[in-house]
Amino acid sequence: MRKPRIPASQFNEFFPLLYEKPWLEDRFEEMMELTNLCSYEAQRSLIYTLLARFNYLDDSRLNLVLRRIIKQVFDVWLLPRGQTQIVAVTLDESADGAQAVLYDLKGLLAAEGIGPKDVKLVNRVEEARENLYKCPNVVLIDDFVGSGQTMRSRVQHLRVEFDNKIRKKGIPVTYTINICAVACMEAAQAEIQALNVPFFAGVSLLKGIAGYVSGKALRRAYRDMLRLEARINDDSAAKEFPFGFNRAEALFCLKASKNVPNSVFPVFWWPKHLSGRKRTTMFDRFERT
Amino acid sequence: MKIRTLSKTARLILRDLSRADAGLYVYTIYRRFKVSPVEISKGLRQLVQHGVIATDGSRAVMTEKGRDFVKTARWQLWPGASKPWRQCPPEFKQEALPVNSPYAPQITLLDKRAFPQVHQMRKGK
Repeated sequence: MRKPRIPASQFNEFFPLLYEKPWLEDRFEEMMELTNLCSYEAQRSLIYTLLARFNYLDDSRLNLVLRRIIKQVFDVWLLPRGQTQIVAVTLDESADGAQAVLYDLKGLLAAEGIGPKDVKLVNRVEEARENLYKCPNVVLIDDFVGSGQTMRSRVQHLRVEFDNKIRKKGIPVTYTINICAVACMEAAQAEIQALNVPFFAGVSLLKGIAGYVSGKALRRAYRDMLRLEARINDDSAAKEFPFGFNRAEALFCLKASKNVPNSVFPVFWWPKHLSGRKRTTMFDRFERT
Repeated sequence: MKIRTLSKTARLILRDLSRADAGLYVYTIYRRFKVSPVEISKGLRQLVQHGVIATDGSRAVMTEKGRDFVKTARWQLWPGASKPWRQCPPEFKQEALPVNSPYAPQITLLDKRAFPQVHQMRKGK
């Protein structure tokens, strides 16, 4: 069956976007599916506006960011080689994005002539304590900082662990904690700065709606988004509604990871309709539903 | 640029644009070809990369380079186009002979390689 022709008003709205952002071409059907969820014009425009603001990091841009992170660690912060460990912020045994970024760093570090003698790459925060005396300079790394809460709890956790170990051993050592992230929400920066540690993020993201408009336009956009979310929100997992985890309003995805952060507006990835029917979504997320 | 490397949609777009001096709305192109907007987008990007068209996403126009390209590649863009100079001129045409009707060829005009024996006989005469 031939697909019905798209009306001119709608075509002219999305086509410049499609042409400008080739990654949307692979998700065109899903994008149309999402716009079909909209019940009026303003909602559809909102979706297109958000997609125009979306930060989709493909491999070449991710590599650029990772190189800048390496530069920051060794050339700007001047952390000594051989006494530095880069630690994924992963706490438990389940795989997460921080480890993926850590692994991606490996080859790029090698390209810069940095080997396992110069820096330790640590899979879990827990293990960082083991290397405390050998590598007292810690760089915590994550793919995405949404609210900064996770990062804050990890830093506090590490400080407690380190201090405990130093007290137990009785050998003093000055350790440093630094933070690197591929992307960070602008709103989370205050939270991170309160920790009083050096911080570097490759990409800084504004809130998807509140970062760009204010006043009446903001209230309208919020209303439109809430109405849209009401069509998929079954109240089973309130933490991602509204506007993503902690109302983060993030518009970000790594091409390499394929698993979108839960800070992103749930209309882009929430897997089910209100009725329980499966949705065709633009992005996917490994999620309890 | 090789015409082979262009997608089918890109070729169609190029053909249509070469006929439109003032350019075309992308929506017009979409309406004509009945293909997915994705194909149109890919085709446009391909053509822009080669510098033969320019577009802002809503309108597309041919560039000077594009006009030159269409001129040199016109036989590949319009493969079915008629070539009037390849046609047999009317003064050489005559009514077709009925099947099995007697026909006396002019021996001197027969091809020597195709009919060597006929020519041999003529020489021996």
